Amino acid sequence: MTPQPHVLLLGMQFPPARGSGVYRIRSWANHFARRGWAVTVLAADRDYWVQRSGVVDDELARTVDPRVRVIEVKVAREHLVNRVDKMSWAHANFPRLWTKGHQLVRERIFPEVYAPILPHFVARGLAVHARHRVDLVFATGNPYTQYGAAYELGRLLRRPYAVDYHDPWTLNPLTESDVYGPRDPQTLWERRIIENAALTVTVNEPLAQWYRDRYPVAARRVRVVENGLAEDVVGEVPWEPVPAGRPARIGFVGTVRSDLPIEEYLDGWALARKEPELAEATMDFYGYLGFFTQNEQAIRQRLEAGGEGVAYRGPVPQPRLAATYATLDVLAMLLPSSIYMTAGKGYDYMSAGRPVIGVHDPRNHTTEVFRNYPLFFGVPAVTPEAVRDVLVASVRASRAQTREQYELCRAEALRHTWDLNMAPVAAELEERIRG
Amino acid sequence: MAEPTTSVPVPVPVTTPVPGAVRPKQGRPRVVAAAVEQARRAPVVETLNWVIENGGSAVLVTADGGDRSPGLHPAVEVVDLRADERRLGLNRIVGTTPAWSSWNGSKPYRMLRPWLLWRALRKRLPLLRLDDVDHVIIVHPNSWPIAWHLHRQHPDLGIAYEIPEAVWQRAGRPVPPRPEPPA
Repeated sequence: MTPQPHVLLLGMQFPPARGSGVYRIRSWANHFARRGWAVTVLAADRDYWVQRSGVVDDELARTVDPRVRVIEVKVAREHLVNRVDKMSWAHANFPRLWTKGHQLVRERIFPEVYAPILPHFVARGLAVHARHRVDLVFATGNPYTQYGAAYELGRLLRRPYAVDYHDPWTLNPLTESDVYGPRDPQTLWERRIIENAALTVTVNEPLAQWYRDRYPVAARRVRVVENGLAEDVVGEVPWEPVPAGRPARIGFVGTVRSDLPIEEYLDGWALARKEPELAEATMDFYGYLGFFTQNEQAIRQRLEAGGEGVAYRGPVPQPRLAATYATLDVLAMLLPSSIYMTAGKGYDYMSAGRPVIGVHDPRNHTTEVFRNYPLFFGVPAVTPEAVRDVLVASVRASRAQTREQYELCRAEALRHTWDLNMAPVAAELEERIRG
Repeated sequence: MAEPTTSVPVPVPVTTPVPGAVRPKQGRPRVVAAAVEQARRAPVVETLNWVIENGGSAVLVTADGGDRSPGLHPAVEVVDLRADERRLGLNRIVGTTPAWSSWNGSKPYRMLRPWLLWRALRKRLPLLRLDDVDHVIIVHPNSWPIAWHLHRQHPDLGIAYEIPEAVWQRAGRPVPPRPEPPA
């Protein structure tokens, strides 16, 4: 190993990409850099995100440690083009032939739609290594093709690689069931990748246990790195007692995805607003609508028809996050109900130091994360009545909240920073490549 | 990206919005349906009839080589490419022999056919009066070559599986209600 270890981070979704997974990748890069590692990130080219998401997050990109070297890799995207007028000549003129050719390539390379990036990532990884010896390859997905690239780079460079599953691949976390059969190429590839990885990292204990059970050969090399608080992004959120007589302000801040329990929440909201505690109360949704532009319209329509006091306020630029939280009395955390789901935004919510309501199945790992948070109100079941009850209870708590409680909440949040969560695994990797 | 799915599905072709506020014009919207095979023919016929009944004009591009599609409004113009297809390249030789039907139905030919039909249509473009066309309806990937080339020639043309409201609005007309589907 060189005196300064060098990690090659495969992070297609690196900022300025947007989306909840981006924070984790950014935090790995910053964490390794702060530990004194040389960090090279292979990321998708900026235009790719402009085309896919319609927007990029330059504010977030500015929070990347300046010591991190980012190499943009041109991502093949023709297979993702769904507008005929934007297609290539071959794609538009010979659609069947083109699709068959693409499928063939995918089958040969990697069983995922992003397979065409694999040779590009491997080639760039080899080029990086030729100029600056790589000590560790670290891939975080999705796309899962990056795990395939890590496997190939590990093999070609004879270096250890680690895979960080911020989203599971062969497990559907929503239905808690397998996505693929035991002989499907995805299953076979995942086994190959995990059994040969130096470490497999995931976001919560239920998921870690799933990997241990599924891949007993690698069970001792599975680790948990929970998501964390990006304190440099959120900053300190000001707090003042809620003025008596002012209608309550409740808010959701995060990507408003179609798999959130929006229906149940809005029905519960309608019930709660009939209670005196929530008279004239407002419910503001902040954030992007879905990840893909084609999902936006349906979600927007649902929110706009959400009922009295409900408004969609649009995305919040990073520098405005703390100020946005500061305008709210209670934060509503909506999550899909599954033991395997963890709320990335939950840590930011904690740092706001306000009552947080958890609208998700209590088995969800987020319940565990909030175990020591003084002002957490989780629903016993995702029903409108339960939502009403936690809304009323949390608004009461916000009106009675003291500065001491606010400081206790903040202190709890600061026990969940990305750096604190990542340090043990980063130290273990350091130890491994030194030894 | 971080939707809690296990993989990102391959997007299926969806509608292409008509470029907003492009080529404003008052009058009759004109629509071309590239429906070179029988797939989704009934809804296409219904859509073209709806255009005609609401004051627009419509063209159906087919390669049926037979009668007009059942139920098609008499005012819908039909451009049938079947005869031209038989006169293209190698088809000129095979097209007059008994081998034509097996060649025409073979897998390799079916892969090339959508592009060949564009080549056939290219010679008959004046029939479409492209300067007046607002929108191309596609019904299947087999429609893509024709739609793609028409758009290349007239970048203002919209391409979609349906007719966007903007087509009517640009023509200065109210958006007509869609006919109720049969019970």
